[in-house]
Amino acid sequence: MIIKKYNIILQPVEEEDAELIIAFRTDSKKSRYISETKNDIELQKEWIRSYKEREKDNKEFYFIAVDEKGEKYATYRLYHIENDICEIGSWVSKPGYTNATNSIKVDIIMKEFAFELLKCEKVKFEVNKSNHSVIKYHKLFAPIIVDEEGDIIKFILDKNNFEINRNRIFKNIK
Amino acid sequence: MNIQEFIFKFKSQLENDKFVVNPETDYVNSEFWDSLTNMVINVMLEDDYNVKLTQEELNSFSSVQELFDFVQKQQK
Repeated sequence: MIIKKYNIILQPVEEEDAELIIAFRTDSKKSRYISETKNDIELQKEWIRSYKEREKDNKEFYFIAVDEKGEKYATYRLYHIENDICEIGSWVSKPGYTNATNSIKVDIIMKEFAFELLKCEKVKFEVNKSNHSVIKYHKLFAPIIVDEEGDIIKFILDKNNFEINRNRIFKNIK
Repeated sequence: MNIQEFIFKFKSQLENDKFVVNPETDYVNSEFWDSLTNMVINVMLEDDYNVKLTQEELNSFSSVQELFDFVQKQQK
């Protein structure tokens, strides 16, 4: 599935994206707040092959975002789809990518995908406690904190709060 | 509105008590400042002070005091 919205494209990751994903996830700044990724392209390709099986069954969606200039600049993944709830994560931008508006658009599109296309009523996500700016950003949508474990804060955002607050965000990225 | 109240609100958006914010703080070049923080402060300015700025405009002030002065002028 390819999503075209707000002048950006979200396309499913393919094996050929393995090197790029590793570059994103092993960057010294980016890797501080996400799960560890081995610097091994073959291992990443193997993971993508197994992901493609889950994608076929609509169990998981892992996208790479492409901007208006054709640059692949971010990833985002949706998984653990169960009844009316799913999980989102792997929101990682290309190191040094400065177009914040486009980064925020990916997050909004993924939440719209969860709520509007998959008909979820809630999305859950986890953020590292030290990732202050991402926590602040997510809080603009008024999620609830459901748990804190070690360095991780677990949030749940319901559809209603997303829809109420989405316009406030949109106004600021135009 | 006074500068201390403004700083209190500004600081409360940062999710981290360790950051020092005072009138002279060059927030754009501070370690806490990034595009998502810009977004959060912009939403605060709109919600609490009815001031609307673009990301670029918010990045153009050289200190918290300068931003505060601008916000105050907008409210008069």
